[in-house]
Amino acid sequence: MLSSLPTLDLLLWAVTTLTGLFLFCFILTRHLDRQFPFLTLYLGVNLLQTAAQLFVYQFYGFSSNVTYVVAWGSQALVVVARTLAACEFCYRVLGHYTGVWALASRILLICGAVVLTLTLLFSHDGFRYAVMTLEIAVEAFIATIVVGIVLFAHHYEAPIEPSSMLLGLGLGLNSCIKILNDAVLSRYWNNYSGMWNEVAMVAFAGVLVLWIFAMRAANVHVPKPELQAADIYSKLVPQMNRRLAELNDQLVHLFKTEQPRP
Amino acid sequence: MSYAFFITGVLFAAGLAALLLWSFRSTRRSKRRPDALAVLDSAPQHLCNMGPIRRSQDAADLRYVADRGGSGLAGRLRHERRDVALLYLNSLRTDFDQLLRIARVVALLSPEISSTHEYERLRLSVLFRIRFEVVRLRLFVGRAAMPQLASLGEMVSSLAIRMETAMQTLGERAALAANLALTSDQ
Repeated sequence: MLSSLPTLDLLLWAVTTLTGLFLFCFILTRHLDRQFPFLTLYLGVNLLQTAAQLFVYQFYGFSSNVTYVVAWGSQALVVVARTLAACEFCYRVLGHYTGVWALASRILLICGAVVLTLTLLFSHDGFRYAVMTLEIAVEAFIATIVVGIVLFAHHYEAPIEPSSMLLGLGLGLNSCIKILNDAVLSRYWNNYSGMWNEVAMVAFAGVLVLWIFAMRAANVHVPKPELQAADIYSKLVPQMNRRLAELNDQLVHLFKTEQPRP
Repeated sequence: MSYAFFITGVLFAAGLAALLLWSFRSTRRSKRRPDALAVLDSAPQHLCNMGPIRRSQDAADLRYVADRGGSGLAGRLRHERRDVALLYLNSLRTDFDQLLRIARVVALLSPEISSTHEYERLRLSVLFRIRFEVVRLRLFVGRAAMPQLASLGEMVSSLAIRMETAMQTLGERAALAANLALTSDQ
């Protein structure tokens, strides 16, 4: 059955599987699984999905109900594992800064939930594309929290280690490409269904390469920042906000007044 | 999938990817900035020029030059005064941005922050930037009052002094912690 697949598909499948396997072993041999437990779990689930797909394609063919259930059921597990890996990335970026983390995690969870709900509400695709719609919604959630946490880190000038940077870049780009790929497939099924799988595999291979570089850059020991006493914030920031408000009033006054002419 | 939903999805994904690349790129660039301690040392560096700037903008001087030297000389002086004021306005903004940066570092290293204060500071700094550009435009076309500009400088200066006093009162721990955080990735 597998031999009926196009050679390019088989080749890309082999490349992504081997790259994923290499990354998984690389993480385990460098004991990075303690630092990145959910990323390791995601890669493991992804490899198991490949093994399960190989089995069902070989023995049940591509169009049986068993294949459909196994393929999309395992995809649900993979997406959940990727969501956990995305949360792990978010925690690595801002988790040590407890004040900003509490604020960012609340805001981003609300934003992610809103994006997920809106995607499910407005897709109107019926049962045919229901699984794909669900995947788009979950990917939109992942992309929102990953991009959101990077924007928070950028705003507060929180340092991001190179390994986390590459990990986040891979997670974010992977989700964005998946949304685009699935959206194009849902809209142009007839013309695009032949290319959809290839695009997804090439993108995933690229993301795996990014993650290999991320794991190469990962330090075994990560220094934690020392937080200050809470009263520094509670004394400084309200004062600063008051002065900012006054400055704004001053600016309004400034552009209402004209310079005297000689 | 409806066409509107398709377009929204494509724009959403492309926009997020662009934001991700932009923020990572600027985060990498910001690593080259001086560390937090250096910023604390250099924060209000332009504010000491406020006195001479204010004196240089005196309207009586302009009237005197117009009476004695004629309108040509007065026009040239007005033009040069405007350039000086614009330079001063830009340097005020630089100082103000550095002070905001210190406030962000303080928030980053605080175990508890208030969402209300953070939102308020973000809203006010955005408003400040917009209004600042409007004032700069007015100054550029010669329709903003110089005494108000000096008063703006005083406010930024007062903000800097308050920050500095608070930092000294509360000890150097915040600055040291800020420095530690900003260099923890090295």
